[in-house]
Amino acid sequence: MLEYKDLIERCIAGDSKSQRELYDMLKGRLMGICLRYNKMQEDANDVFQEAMIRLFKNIDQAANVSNFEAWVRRIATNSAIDAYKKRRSQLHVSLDNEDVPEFKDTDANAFEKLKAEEVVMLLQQLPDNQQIVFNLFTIDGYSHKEIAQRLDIAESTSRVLLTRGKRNMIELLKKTEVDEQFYG
Amino acid sequence: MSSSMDKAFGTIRSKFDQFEAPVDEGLWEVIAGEIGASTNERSKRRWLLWALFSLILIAGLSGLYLRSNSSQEANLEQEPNEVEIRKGKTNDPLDNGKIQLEKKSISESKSATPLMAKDTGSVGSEIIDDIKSDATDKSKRLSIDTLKESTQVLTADLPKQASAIDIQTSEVEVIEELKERKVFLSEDPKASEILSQRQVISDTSTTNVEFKTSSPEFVRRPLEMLVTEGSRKPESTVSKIDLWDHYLTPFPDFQSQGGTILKARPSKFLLRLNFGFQMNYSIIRPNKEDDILFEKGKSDIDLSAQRLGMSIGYDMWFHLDGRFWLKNQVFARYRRFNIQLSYVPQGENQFREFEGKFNALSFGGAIGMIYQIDNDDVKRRALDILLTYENALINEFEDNTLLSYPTGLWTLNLGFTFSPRTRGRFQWLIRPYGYYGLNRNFGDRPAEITPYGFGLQFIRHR
Repeated sequence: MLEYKDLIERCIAGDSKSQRELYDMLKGRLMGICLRYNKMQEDANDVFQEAMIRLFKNIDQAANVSNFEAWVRRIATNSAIDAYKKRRSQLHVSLDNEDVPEFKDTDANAFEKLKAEEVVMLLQQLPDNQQIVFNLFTIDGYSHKEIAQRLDIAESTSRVLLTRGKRNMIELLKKTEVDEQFYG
Repeated sequence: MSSSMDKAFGTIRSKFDQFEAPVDEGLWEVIAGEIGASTNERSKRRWLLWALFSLILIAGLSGLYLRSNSSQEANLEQEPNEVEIRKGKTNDPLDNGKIQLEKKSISESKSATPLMAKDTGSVGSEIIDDIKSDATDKSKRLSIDTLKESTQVLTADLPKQASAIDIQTSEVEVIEELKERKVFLSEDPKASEILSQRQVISDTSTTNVEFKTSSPEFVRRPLEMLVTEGSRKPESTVSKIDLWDHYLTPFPDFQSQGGTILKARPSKFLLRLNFGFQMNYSIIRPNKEDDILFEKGKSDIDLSAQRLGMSIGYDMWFHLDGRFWLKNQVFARYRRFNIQLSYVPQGENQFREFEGKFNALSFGGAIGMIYQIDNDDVKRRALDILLTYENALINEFEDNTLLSYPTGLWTLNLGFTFSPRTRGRFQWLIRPYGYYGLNRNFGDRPAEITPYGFGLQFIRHR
């Protein structure tokens, strides 16, 4: 937080150079979040812009937060959620009983081998609703209750979406492994 | 949650702890616009607006300047800017709002009396007072009847850019100049009088003493004056010197052996319209990081219009010292490149042909030095070196994925200025020049273009 303190104060004072400096410091990580939540680069760019604008317009609040980076991540996640809610159609999720897939050790090892960019590519292949729930739950640490509140869905729906997301991720992971073995 | 699940989630989460994705530079412009921050693009736009504004302002001022000079020239041609004391003739005051030289007349009936003049203008009065005091001196009394031909009293030039008001306010300076004036006296056996501090060419046939106040700074016609080789040489030996009144002043001091001095002070500032044509070429520099092989194409030297560029702008010259001048320039420049090359794309084994024509329109400015090689009337030559920056308003390379061309282009310019005619009223100076792009590492594409070329510039002389 200390590394940002002076910069934030200058940004609050309206210093353009400091705004650009802060932007440069945060842009990569912020875009990483936006890419995880979107399938297309253009959509990710829109969310990124929205998040940055929110960040600078509320920069005076940043002076009071204890963990600036977490605050920034939350802004980006909220922007992604809002964008998702705008574009989603009526969410129909079947709540039929499904076998809940479990990640195995081998799956964890397989994830270990992948680069972050490759995991993002897998995430982008999930359906929208699974992608956002998987992101929120698995990577950003939201609970099903929080996810349900943020997405205006039932907790059970969040669980189902996570289950399906995990299953699809495992399948995509296996497919990736097969491709790697086949193509070298 | 099983431990395998925790491990898998932990693995995925850890991947994104420090994950950063590349960001398109253009996004900042939108964000900055929303939050009110200034951006490079905005700065560029602001700079361009200022450049445009400056260009218009300079064009307007120089237009006024040229028009003022034109009208003054017309006045000069019809009513010489001089105080004339003519026999039996009354002069009109110069009605140009500048040096208010009240015309003076001395009637023929008073010719035998000391020169009497009534003046209301300060410059005129100074001159007349001098003459009067000399003429009333019996020992130096000069009968008008004895005066034969006109005498020109040349004054040092006034500040070049002086406006009408400026000139009025610099009247005191003019007076000082007049005090220093020297008058040539040709060696005519009939010449009779030498006035103190000035020499008057005299003869018996006319009574015309002409004090001509001429400034090369705002007198547009060629300033010609009679210069004797020696103070007592006959008029036949008098040579005409066409001063560099609108070229690389300061012109030199001319000093005759007899102590006759014609002195013209240097202009401190000159403003000149210029336009030019140039041929554009390019050096293709492959980026070392890209594994792309380029081969020179068929783009040998060709002087076709496909490579033609044009520019228009204004020169501002400030005299520094001796032969050195500071040169500033603002301009708009259009460039056209015809590029042909072969290249092997990354991961391929075959050459591909590339051919394209690209246009670039830019505004810019230059700063540099002029060294005046000659400052006499025989040759007019000067060398200059300029550092130029121009910002592209139109850059067609922007959409190209192979080549990059700098939006902010720095160039080094070397030029040689000369006048094709040393006398008369030729309107333009000619400046052949060459330029070379200084930018390096300005793009992230497989190859960068360093432009170079040569051209011919025409600078308005008068």
